[in-house]
Amino acid sequence: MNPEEIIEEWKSEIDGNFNNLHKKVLNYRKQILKKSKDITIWLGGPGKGSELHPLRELIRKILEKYNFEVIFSEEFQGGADLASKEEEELQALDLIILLSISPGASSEAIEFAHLDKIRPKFWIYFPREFRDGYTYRSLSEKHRIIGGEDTLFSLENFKKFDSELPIKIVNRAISHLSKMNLKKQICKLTNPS
Amino acid sequence: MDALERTLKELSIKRLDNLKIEVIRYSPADEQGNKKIYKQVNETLLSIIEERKPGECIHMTGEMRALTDPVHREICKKLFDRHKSKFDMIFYYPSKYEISGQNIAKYNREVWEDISWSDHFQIFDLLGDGIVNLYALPTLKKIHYSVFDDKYILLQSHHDHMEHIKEVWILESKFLNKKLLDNAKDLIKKAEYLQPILFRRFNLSISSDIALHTLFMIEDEGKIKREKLLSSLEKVKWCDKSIIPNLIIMGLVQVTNDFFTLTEEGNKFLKLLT
Repeated sequence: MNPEEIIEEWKSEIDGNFNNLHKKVLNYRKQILKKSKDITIWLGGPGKGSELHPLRELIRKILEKYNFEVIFSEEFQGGADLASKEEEELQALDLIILLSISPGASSEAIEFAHLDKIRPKFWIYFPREFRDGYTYRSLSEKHRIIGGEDTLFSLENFKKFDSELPIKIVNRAISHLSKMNLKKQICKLTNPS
Repeated sequence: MDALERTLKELSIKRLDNLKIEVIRYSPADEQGNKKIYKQVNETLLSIIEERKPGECIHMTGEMRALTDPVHREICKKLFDRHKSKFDMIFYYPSKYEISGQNIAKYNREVWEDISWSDHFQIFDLLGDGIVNLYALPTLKKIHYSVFDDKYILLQSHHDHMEHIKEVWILESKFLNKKLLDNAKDLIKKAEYLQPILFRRFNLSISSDIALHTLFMIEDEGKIKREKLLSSLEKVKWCDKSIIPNLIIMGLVQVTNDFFTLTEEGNKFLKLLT
């Protein structure tokens, strides 16, 4: 399958999955997705030299299908790594998503786990196959920055373009929108002026 | 020995006469008096933050009740936005409870009694954004206090853990501030830092599609049996079923004899979003 076909299939599965939800939820999603272009997502993962880089590109494309703005570190303000970024630049990012599927990306995950300014926006997606390894245990037990089925996926299946990871990441981005909307509504409730 | 001396003695601070401790304000153990003191502390903090960073700020608490005050939450945000500085907050969290966003939320509901879901959400939002550093201490300390601006102390008398009305003092003393600051820092070393992701994850679950789906299903039916609700969720792939206990913890849903119904808060929540 070519990338466009994969993306269409994923979108169809994502939309089909959510069609099983209550119709009022679908209406609500439509409303909040109108704001998705206001959300900037930094997507980390395997670099251009890695055979897994195309998978990262596919995740970018599926997020863009829902009108989220997605940037790679290589393209972000001159291409330097995220850890060296000034706080003002990081504040422009709403979500930082890392696909921990290569040695470089796993190292970034450990490094970023220490950064106070990144942690609140940081979501690491980790292969279920490596859950017993050092990196996962360090991130979950020592740094407590990862944990829960919603950020685990099968890498073997993802290499065959299975939709588990894209469903979870798109869901994460939409949940972020929903949370921002709820915050806004609570603000209106508590400060009606 | 008066109440202040007794309280300081509990902290192993003796010989009050030899220390320069100015009592700026005192409240007996009554609600109105306590409210006035907390208001004054908030005002003092705010005016300091407008001008400069207020030194190291630590709350050594029982139930992190300071965060239930919306004004104080705004102060924490202002401190972070303006000075990139954070309050450290230590609270008592029994070691029998595993650390998770869900368990902490459940514990909060037990000790905060009348907290609304929106206040709880906002508290977790603050913590989820890492604006306050929260530390869980497995032992309940007798004396609770706050220190800020290198010289101010908000001191509380020894009180029952679940009783939040007590004698309170605002004190000014560089010596006492330093001593209590060091004491709090030692406690932080013995406490567990609670990662922001715990609170973010919990809040995201409350605002998620699955949460809304659950609430709308219950709204449609008035009351719905557990099996029927769970079966509707089975059709959604990669769906997090821990949503349901989270909605109960937040007071949006209640369950009686295996039937789920919306609470008044749950109805308000749906009205707010749709």
